[in-house]
Amino acid sequence: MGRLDNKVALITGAGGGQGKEEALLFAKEGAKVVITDVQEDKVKEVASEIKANGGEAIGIFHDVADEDNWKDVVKKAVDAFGTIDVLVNNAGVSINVKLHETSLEQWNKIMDINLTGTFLGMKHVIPVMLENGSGSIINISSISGLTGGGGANPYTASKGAVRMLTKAAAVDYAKDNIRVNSVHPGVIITPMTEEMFKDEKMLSWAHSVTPLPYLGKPMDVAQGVLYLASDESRFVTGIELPIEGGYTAK
Amino acid sequence: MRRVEGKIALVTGGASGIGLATARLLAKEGAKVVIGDFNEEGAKSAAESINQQGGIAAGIFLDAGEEASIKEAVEYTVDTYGPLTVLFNNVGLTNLQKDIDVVHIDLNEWDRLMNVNTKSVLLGSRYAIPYMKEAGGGSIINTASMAAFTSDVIRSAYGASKAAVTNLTRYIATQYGKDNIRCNAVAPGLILTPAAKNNMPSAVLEIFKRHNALPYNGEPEDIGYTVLFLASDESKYITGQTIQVEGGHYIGNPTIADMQAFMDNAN
Repeated sequence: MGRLDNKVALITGAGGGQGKEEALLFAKEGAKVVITDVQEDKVKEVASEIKANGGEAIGIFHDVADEDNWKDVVKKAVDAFGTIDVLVNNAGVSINVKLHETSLEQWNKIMDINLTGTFLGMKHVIPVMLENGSGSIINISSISGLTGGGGANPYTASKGAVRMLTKAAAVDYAKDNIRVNSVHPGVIITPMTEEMFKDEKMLSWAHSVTPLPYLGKPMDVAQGVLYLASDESRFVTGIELPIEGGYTAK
Repeated sequence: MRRVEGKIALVTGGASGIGLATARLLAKEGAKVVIGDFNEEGAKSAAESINQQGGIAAGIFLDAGEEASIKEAVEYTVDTYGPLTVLFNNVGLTNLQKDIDVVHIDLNEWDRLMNVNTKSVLLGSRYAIPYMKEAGGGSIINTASMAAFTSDVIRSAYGASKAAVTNLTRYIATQYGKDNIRCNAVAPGLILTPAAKNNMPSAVLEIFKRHNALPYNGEPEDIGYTVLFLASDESKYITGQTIQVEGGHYIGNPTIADMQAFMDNAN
């Protein structure tokens, strides 16, 4: 028996990295998955991979900052699988630039995808969960949503806002049996960050700030998201789950 | 492959409630489990029921207030199954009569709760860590409480002892991370353990439920599944954290339930 049997999960930004790993893991645990990304060909590949392994999946083009696109994605998800039990707001972008050198355009782009995208996801999926009588929403924040620093100012601000939006939604919808939690990954070696950590200095910095002797992988985040998605965490809402090798514990 | 296949675990306070639910889940998912408890008979019969269901478990007397007893439980685990890789420091005491406000608290009770709730975590870890190093790593999980983050008109020692557990958790995580030893805590809210059900009138349990964000109280398995996750390699990049399993009781404004009732009456 899978840990997500009979559940339908919608995962954004699932064309690669953590989102893809979550999609593969969720499907393995019995969920029907709706996986979305701006890279349509990549989510379609992931969906094919899941189907080839006997799972159920659809891959859809998705710009999470576009409200009409959200309406379309939610409709397609419900048409395909009947409902949505789990929403993972995973899509996100970053930029490494000092505050006084950040253009308004750069700021807005990060906020649109990381924060507005998360808001729109909850706005359009919660009505489906209300009708369903339950749900679990996992918003991917970051250690940057817990601590400052690192030069990625708009990113840090957006992830801090995701953290509090999560708590506000958790309070508002708990009596409707909808749980909302945030996940805070630390240094994770993904296809997106791999290049950066080829730099010796960056790699030694990462090890120096991480008490555990290894750095994270997308699967480490996916397992935490799975715990929050499943009924095993049915008494957990409004929490922050850091997955960061002890980065913030020091 | 089960979720904690091949792991060797010591669960303190495992004869009932949260400890028992966790021991059962760990065993079901493939761990060999030693249940330590002050109630020796309870520990042994819990182990027996796990064995009857196809798990592997043994029970032993454990006085979490005695260093020698903690050391013995760790060594018994190692002698019985091999170097332990999971330690669930779960024993905890509370006393609503003697552990009261700061002016009137019984000082012997303060010492007793600090000893059993906090020092036992230090001692369990102190004796388990060398074996975990020998095994190539391990996972320590401590039972904290939401009392670590909030305050009350009574239970000064309990709250302080549990707050100390959450920070000791970070220290252990920082000190032994490079040895591949993780340390996390779970902070339960109100959990419907046999002890809670026996000691609290149903009207009090209803108050908790009304103030939870979620529409129900917690069950021992809710903590058990969280400990299982932390014990397993699924959480291998999580250390130094305290995971709150409390129904959203403490996440909102504390007046929410009363305000909601006020508004419902006004309508």
